[in-house]
Amino acid sequence: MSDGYETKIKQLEAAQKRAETIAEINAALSLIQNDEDILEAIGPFVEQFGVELYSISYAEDIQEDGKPGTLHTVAIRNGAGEKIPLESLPQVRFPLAQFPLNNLAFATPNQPLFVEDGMTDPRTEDGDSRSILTALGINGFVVLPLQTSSIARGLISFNWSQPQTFPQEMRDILTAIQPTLAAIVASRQAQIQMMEKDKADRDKLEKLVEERTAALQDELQRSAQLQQEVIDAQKQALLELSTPIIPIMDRIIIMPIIGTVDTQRARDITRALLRGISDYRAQIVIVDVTGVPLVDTNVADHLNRTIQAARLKGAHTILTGISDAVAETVVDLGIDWSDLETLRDMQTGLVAALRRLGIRMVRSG
Amino acid sequence: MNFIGIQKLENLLLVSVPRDLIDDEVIRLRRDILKAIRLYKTQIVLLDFSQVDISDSFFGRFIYSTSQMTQLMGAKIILSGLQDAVIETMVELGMTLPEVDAVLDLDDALELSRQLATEQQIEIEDGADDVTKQGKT
Repeated sequence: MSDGYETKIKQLEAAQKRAETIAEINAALSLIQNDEDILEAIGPFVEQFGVELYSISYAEDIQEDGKPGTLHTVAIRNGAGEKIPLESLPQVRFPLAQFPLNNLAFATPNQPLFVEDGMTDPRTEDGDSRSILTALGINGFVVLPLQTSSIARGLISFNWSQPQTFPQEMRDILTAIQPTLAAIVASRQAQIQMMEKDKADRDKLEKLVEERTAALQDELQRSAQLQQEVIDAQKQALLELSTPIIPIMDRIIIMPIIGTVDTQRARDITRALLRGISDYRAQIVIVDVTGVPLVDTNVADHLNRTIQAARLKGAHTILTGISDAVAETVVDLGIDWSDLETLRDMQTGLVAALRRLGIRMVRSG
Repeated sequence: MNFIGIQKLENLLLVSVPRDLIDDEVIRLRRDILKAIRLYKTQIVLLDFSQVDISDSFFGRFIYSTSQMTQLMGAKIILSGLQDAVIETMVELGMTLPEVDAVLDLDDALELSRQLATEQQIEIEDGADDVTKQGKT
């Protein structure tokens, strides 16, 4: 009787201890922030059984039957609880087709898979499972498939290099925390998915903003271009106004120059004059400089070029409107206009032009 | 003899300068003009540039040198149809060709050549008159 009583007490104590352990693990799991924290939470418990390597993987490429196509290792630790960098692993994605052992785990997704000796266990006879285990240096192992609502979420695996005898206590506790772990991983994946969706939304918004900005900039550029075109057109109009060509008689044109003559203006005047000569087939051009306030060496030089250009176009130039002040400066500056036909005003210029063309004006009656 | 772009017309040598001449072709054209002047004993050379729309310094020099050489061979030269852009380049380069007659187009060029021919004829007649006068005395 007393034996049975003591056994009962031991059983009760063991049950209490188990409940405390589960409570501890659950408390740790309730605080997780990332994948590492999940290993951190269960680490102290499994490390006391001398686990050599334990890892957590997420299910990817979920098949139609809810089983994973690939397992993606997201965190891995050694027996001392030290984090192993994922970059140092030869691969982090394991297609299930290549690792049939994981299929074995998802065959009974609601309970952990305990294999004490991989080399003798009948469940590892399938295919080349044993050679894979040998290659990985694994003998005893536990796999906790994580599945909620018939959809695989991932798995947690614990590996030993030697055959093991798993105590009942460990089996019970791992079985007990499996649903919690599955729920946590599921919610974590949902969270990641949501974050990704958030990011996608944000990216979409940013793209939209960028597009709108680009469109606005385009618009701005276009309006600036339009403005420039208007300015150019006005400039052109002003230019035409400032270099008028007056066809006065057959083959005689008059070009009055008003205002100061700089290099740009001189070029415009030359171009306008050359075009005028073509347009009106002019033989005589009367350039009237009454409106030019100042004639210095520069202006004289520009005018000379214009007159030479007109001559090469076959037109003779008569320069009129030389005021007494201009005549004085021209001579004082030593400008040689002796080979130019210069006259004091437009009337005399016109008479000279008519004489040159052999036209005589007669008063009738 | 066949010269490309050079035609004899009465006492005229009509040269229509083609567009886009490369430097070698410019030199050949100049030689051809001089040969043709000697061959046809031409008195007036009419250079028509109406097809030429751009000019560089080399081409400007071509116009200048051709006019000089033609005058050396005793022929008068008339430039016609120089386009605005070509004229601008020439004036920029200072090649204003003061001794050469330039006209607007071929119509004006023919009119001017007739005028020049009449003047020459008058000169010859004047000279002949002198000779007869001299003979009389």
